[in-house]
Amino acid sequence: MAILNITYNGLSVDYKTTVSDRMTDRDIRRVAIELIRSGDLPGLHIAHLPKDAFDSYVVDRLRSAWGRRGPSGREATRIYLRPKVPFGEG
Amino acid sequence: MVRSMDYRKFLGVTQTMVLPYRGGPSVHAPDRRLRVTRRVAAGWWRFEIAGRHATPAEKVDVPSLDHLPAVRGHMVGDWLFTGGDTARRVYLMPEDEPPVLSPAVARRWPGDELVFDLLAFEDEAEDAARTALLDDDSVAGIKGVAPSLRGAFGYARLRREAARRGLQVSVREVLRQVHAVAEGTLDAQALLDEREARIFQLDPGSNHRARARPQPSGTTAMGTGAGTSERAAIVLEQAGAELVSSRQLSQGRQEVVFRYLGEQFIAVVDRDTLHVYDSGICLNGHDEQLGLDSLPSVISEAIDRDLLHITNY
Repeated sequence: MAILNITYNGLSVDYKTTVSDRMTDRDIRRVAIELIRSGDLPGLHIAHLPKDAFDSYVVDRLRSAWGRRGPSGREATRIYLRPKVPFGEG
Repeated sequence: MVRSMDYRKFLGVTQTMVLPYRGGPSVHAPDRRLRVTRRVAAGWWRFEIAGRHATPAEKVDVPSLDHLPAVRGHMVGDWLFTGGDTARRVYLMPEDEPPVLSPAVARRWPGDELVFDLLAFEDEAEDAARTALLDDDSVAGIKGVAPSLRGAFGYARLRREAARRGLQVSVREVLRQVHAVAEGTLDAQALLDEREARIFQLDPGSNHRARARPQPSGTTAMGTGAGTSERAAIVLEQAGAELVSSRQLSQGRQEVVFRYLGEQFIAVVDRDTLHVYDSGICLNGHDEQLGLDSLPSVISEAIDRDLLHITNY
């Protein structure tokens, strides 16, 4: 299982319930849309969020070097859904 | 099978442990991270452990580290180059900084950080490489140059050139280029020219900031805004980073200094929401799309794509 963290409009929020760490990137984007539309993420409630809002977002999976549980005993696997940002290339 | 619960958990008994303290709000024990109750100078300390809290009792000599996995390479400052394009920050360095390009051994502490162990014997290759460094030359043609020495040389050459310009250049920004610089196939001056031009174009004030800003201390106590600091420490830890220090700024902002992948970063965030105002790296003005939670992930991508430009030192 994993903790899903979603960043939208400069705000990052953890979903309070763990999700499967085997979800595909597409599933994660779809779940994120539903969570924000339904108001399940504190501070991130947008009822009419477009269904393609996360199409360009990056899905990053992080597992702690300390094993399945992190150094504080929290769930170590985390999935970050965040905007893709430019680094000055191009 | 019947398992018995450790009764000491209920009695609040403390245990002592010698641990490497790098500064910051926590210290790594072999099996977990502990919150430090009192800030002290970085070094090896005997800690009294109670639950998840560690209280420094006394500073001790470096213990034997022979049981820990060894990592060998060549030093530039507190960076150990372990290959042609791989380097790790080494903590708890000796008071006398090792001469540049020294061969050294670090040990892998649980939690995957490296602590300094000892300097290794040198041979002619290190001597010849140091001479080439002083002459602003390359290591091409020097016999017996290991990949780690080549990597260290390339970074030392870039760092030396950057210092002449009053600039700083971090290992994570230039790691992909150090091999070519060492071999002389990529000119150090041309590389820094290009970097300065790109950063000036994207963020005209940042080079000045990099020059003017004093280095933050690794052991400073957290300033005000302690609630923000604690939340920042948690989200950074979850993202694989570590809070070093934090201080309150005007207009509801908070400066957050953190370590990630051995490098130090300085971000400015909203005190309440941890919304990012200034990421401390070049994002072409898109900093405010991020929260502090997502910043380490962004930094990882910048490193992977060889596009990391640190703007706040």
